[in-house]
Amino acid sequence: MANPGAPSRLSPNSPGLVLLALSASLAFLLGPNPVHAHNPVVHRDMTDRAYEIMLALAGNHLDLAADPGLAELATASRIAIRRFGALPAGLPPPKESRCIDPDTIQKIGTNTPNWSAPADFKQMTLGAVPHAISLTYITGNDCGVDETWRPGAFFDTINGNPQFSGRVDRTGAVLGFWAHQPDDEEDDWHVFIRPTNLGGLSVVKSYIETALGVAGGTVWVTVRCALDCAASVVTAGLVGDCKACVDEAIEDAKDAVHEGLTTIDGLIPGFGDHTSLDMYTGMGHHLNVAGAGSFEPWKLAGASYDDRPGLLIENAGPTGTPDPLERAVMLVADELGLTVHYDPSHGPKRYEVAGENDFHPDSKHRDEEDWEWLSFVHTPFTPLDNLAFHGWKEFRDAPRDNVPALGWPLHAFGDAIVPMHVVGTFGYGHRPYEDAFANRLGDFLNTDDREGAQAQALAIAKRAVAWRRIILDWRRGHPERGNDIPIRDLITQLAQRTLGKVEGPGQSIWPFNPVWSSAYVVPGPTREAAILFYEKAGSDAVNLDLLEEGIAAELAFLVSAAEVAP
Amino acid sequence: MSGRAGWLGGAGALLALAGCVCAGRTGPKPPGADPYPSYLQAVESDLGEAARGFVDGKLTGRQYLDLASDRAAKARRYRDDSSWRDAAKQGDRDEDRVPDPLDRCDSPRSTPTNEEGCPPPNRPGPGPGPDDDQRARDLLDQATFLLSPACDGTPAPRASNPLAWGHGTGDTRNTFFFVIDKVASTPPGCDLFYEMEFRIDLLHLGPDPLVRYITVLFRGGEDITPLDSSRAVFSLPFGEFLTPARADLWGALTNARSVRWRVRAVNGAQATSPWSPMKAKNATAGGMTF
Repeated sequence: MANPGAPSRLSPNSPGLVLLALSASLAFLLGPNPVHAHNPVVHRDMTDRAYEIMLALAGNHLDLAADPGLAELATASRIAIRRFGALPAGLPPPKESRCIDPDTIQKIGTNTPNWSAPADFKQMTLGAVPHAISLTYITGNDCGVDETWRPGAFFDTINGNPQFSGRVDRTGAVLGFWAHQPDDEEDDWHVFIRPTNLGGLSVVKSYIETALGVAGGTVWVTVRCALDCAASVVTAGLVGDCKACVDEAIEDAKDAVHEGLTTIDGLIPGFGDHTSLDMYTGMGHHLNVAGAGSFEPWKLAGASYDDRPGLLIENAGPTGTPDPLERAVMLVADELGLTVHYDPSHGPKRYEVAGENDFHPDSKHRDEEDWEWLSFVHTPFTPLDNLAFHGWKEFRDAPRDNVPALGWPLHAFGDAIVPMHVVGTFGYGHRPYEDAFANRLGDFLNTDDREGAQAQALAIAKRAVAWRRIILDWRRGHPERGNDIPIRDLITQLAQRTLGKVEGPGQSIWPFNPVWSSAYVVPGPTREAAILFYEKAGSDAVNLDLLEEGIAAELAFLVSAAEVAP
Repeated sequence: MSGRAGWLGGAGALLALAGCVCAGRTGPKPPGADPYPSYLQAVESDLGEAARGFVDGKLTGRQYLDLASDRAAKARRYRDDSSWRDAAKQGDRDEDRVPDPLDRCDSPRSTPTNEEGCPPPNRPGPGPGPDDDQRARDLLDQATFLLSPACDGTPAPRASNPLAWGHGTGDTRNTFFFVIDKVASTPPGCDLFYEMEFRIDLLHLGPDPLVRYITVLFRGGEDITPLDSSRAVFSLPFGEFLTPARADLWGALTNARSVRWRVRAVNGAQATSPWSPMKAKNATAGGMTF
């Protein structure tokens, strides 16, 4: 087992940094969110809404209409809320004690919020968290309070209403924060260019360093230029097209430094969200239930290592044909030999399932050489249900110490309602779809519509009863597993349902459109067009259905998860 | 020499590199591993050649994908199947990466085959069209990476957050200002950039909302409050040179019904912070002064 904190093979000052930078540009190509998930706010609000509905059920604020399933869910919710409230939230102290956002200061009435935390901050219980925490609580550098959070609409009248307990329960917001956190697990997947491939590009770095001199500056080199240089393995200096394109980039950089202005309008093509250098966070966030990748004259589908395939870029998408963005990534990865970097990557160790006896086969073990055998575009990544299992197992086995681990299964529920995540693609409109979804979220959740939110809460609770029944039936069938949860089944069933909702004759227009991901990656009118396409695609009904089902599954999971807690 | 010719000229060197790649591997070798460096070298060479063939337009997207997945599958087979590895010791005359003892057909160079070295069944579906292929090629010219030797060793910036925006007062009333959470400074010569993305609902008379998405990029050196350690302020003045997106943003803000925006930071070595959440912020009442 590698040490998760082990340094990268390439020291920060090695020539390899050039290629790590190129690797990062590939991270961008991986869809400004390599293979990513919903925007953070979607993950948080799904989980938060599931918890708020639990509060509504527990407080008899929904019409249960003598429905035994709902009654059982309400009873279980009461117990779950009490148990969650007593568990340590697992939050580290905020990065800064002082807030600087004027809206936050105005809302909480001070620039130095009082957390009333115990000496060991992480022991602050979920029920005692005094502020809604921001989504940049860990990655940012501020006081960590989100002044914009509120239970929302109907739930504002329950959670924190003086007529009832009067205390605002922020458990949902904290669990929601943890639900988004797997997208910030930047050490899950590292990709590197084998050191022996550094060749020509290390010469480029020296050349640029000399040309820029002490003034420094930033050189913007196109991927094509970098590939030219990689192919021109020179020792005496740059030649040919490589030299020409690098010289041009250096002159542009000097002009920019001289003028002190940025003359471009975006990071072209941009960068992978949540990526830093060689980190490709989301490659284990897919569960390909389409079966499209199964066409293989070699009988080696992506499911070779797990019972369900995750991301396998060479077979990406609804038909197993990578879109233009994915093909561009394949070209660069194959040309340069970009592979998973096993040692510093947590993903291969975290998301391999072994010896769990959860009625699914174990993962076929892969060692370092297996992971680094071919470039990462030909490497089957671990599937989303394994990611969920990782977190569930940690919480199940030590709930008092592992509330943050609930973030993995909760995150997986969120990803399993994204069509692109269930056909294993970071293209086909993945990012613009998710941006558009996030921008419509407030309307989907009726945040300004009290009656609408109440009706929706009841509808979601009814759906949750079905998910709860799956869990209870499984437990009855496997009494030896106690209060365990068949998390891999739940994620897989939700993913299959998602695909069923979106597949059909029109799927190549919506949602799986091969045009919009490559349009999205270039800032400007094409990116705008890509997002607006998904916002205006007339798909609200389907998206709302997916969202409500995802929240329902999370609700059933949370209620059931609490049953392993003290 | 054209760029593509440069690539082809480097092909020999790439083959040599591929040899280095295998030599650099660590970890256990499969039993009877004699041929594996050369076998994997050959597959990696095929993959690189296929990639260059597509970029050069010599292969269609369909042909490229078929060839790439074929070679990758054979490499995986080699890794997993000892009989395949044993057979590989006896050579591969037509270079289709099916070992000669298992190969029943002579294959043209750089074509996919089935397990017996013969033409495979056709992959179902039409595959990508010429427009899709060109999009993939174009991305190589549009995609850039940042390189700044002065940033070597600098960690990724922490996340930033939008704090406030609004127009100025007096002489700056036609200028928009954006205030964000400043991230830690970078070493001299190492640039820091802030990318901001705006979602603006415009005032208009039509029944449907009119929405604009606009992305702008500011260099850290454009911060008009360099001595403030916690906030960075960027301006969008009317009447001065503005990039197309900045001009677009200026116009949209003057006609905004509501504004949401987010920000992220990146340094010259392409180390990037996460995006902040998209925050709804009203323009600061009464204007802003700096």
